Amino acid sequence: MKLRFTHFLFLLTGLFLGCSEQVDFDQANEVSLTSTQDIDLVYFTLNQDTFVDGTGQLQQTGVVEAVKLDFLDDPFFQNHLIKIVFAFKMTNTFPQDLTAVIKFNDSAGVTRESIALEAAGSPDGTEVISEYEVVKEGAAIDNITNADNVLVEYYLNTEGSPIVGSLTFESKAAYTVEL
Amino acid sequence: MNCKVGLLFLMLISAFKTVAQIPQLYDADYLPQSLMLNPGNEVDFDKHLGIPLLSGIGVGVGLRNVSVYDIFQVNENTEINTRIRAKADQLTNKDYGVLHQNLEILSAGFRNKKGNYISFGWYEALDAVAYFPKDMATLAYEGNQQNLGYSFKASDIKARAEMVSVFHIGMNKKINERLTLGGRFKIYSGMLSAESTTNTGTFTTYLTPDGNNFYEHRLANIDGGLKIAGTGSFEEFSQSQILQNSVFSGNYGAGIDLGFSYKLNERWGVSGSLLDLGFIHYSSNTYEYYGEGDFTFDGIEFIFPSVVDNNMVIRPYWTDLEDEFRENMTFDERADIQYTVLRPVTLLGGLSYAFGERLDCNCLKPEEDRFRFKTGLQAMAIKRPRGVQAGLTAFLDAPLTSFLNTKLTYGIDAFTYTNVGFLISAKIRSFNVYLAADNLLSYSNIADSNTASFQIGLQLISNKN
Repeated sequence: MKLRFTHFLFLLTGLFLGCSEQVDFDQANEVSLTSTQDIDLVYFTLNQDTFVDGTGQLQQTGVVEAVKLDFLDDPFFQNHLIKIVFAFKMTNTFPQDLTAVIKFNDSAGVTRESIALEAAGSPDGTEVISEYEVVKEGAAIDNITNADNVLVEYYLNTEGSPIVGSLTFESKAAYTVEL
Repeated sequence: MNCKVGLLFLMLISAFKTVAQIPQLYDADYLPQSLMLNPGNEVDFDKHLGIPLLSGIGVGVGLRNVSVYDIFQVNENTEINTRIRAKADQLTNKDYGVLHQNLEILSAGFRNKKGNYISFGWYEALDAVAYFPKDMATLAYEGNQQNLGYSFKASDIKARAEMVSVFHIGMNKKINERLTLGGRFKIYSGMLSAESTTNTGTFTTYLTPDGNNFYEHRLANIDGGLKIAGTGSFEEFSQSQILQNSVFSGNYGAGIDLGFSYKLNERWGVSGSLLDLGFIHYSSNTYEYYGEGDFTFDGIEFIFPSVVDNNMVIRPYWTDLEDEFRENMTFDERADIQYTVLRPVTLLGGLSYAFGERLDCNCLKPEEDRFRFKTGLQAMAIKRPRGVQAGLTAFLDAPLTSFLNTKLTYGIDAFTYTNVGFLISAKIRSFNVYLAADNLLSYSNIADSNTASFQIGLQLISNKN
């Protein structure tokens, strides 16, 4: 077979004319990633010393503690956070019920979002576990990302038995961001 | 079928080259570029002069276990994020992508009075490899809650890109009728380097039923980062600086290529070479982003004011946490670091068998027998950050006419088991042009190809007789 240089050029051209089934690179604009990370939040233990003095006299029925969470109002969270699933676990040996109120306050002290929880009392001093899962989405997320501190308030129902026991509080949050 | 997209894609990936094209040029003794793959290759000419900037242009890309089509196909049944997620689930931390591009700026060679062939030149090459960060992808897609107790490894982040300018001179010496040896000395000027290959440490979320809180999050033995050389930090990135680095980068290194070819008899031959056994020491325009340390977190412990203690101190929990984190973990950046990178050493070997009609050879040794066809096997291995990238290729080398040489290859490598490649080289008087491409079977849908490469070169080649 005698090949000419034009055949060679034809072959070169053929090599360039590779084809492709349809692809659409504009789909890159639709690429997103939804990621959820579960992170511990706040934990603590309350005992009778929080509420009564050394003689057992009731001094206060409510306590409050706050933490400033700078990341909440970070632009990243404000732009990408779409959902939070809070989980709370309270282990109570007080005979009394306790009420917890978790408040998300902005820098002016205005409560933008809140969560109320009940820890059931223990009739016999054994541990009673109360667990809650609270989902925040949509406008609630905007409220939370416009807050910059979290308050945990606890109120003791003082009716009934002596105030003896403890309560442990555990919390975590599953943050879902869309990138 | 969309041929325009195919052509566009081919042009797009023309920015890169894979090692897969090596089989086409290896042992092609009628091309000067074969000396760059084996300086001990038999040289079939007396002189060559590459057309500046056109004597060797190589581009290509390789993606292991994923293709552009996998992600960007037009498919009404699945949306792109579903396809990405499916691929992320399928890929492992051993899957990777490589990019390679090379451009010969100057290339020349001549046979000296002692009969040795001296070749020299200057070329630019970009080589990049990035492994799929499986653990990071799993953490991003599945989250930590589905993987409690699993230690996500920072070592899954492994990537390197290096653009170098190489000045080289080599000698090819025919020791006797059977054995030819060759060597090449290289001076590297690092134009741009980005490296993140030595990351260590883990992130683990433990479920702690007896602990303070639901979980314990632990960053353990974190040590790693990204080193950049040639242009300083990201903010200082400058194309003109990178081009300037092609000669005076301040980041220099040296290396050698070694090779041999040996005729077992008139038909059988073996050859081998070791390329880029060398290093580059980076100390100019360098920058590093790094992180190191250990940190354990199980939440913020509230200490409520006690009635007994009457302790009403307002505690800066968040600030304390930040301080504790900073004491244990460092995430920072620094300039003027020094580091040394070994070149991606390449090992090549070949076994060939000549057959067919005897040709009147218009080459250096007309008295030597030369057969029309040559076939055989070629093996290749490149040292990568996470092991060796290897390939095996069968070939058939045949001159179609007095001016046209061709080489057909079939290879298996990390990217495909059906890599059909082709080299065609035309010589018209002293002017020679060659073109090589691989993975031709994928050209019916090139977007679905895991690898594609292409290279072309133009030079003047002459013999004394």
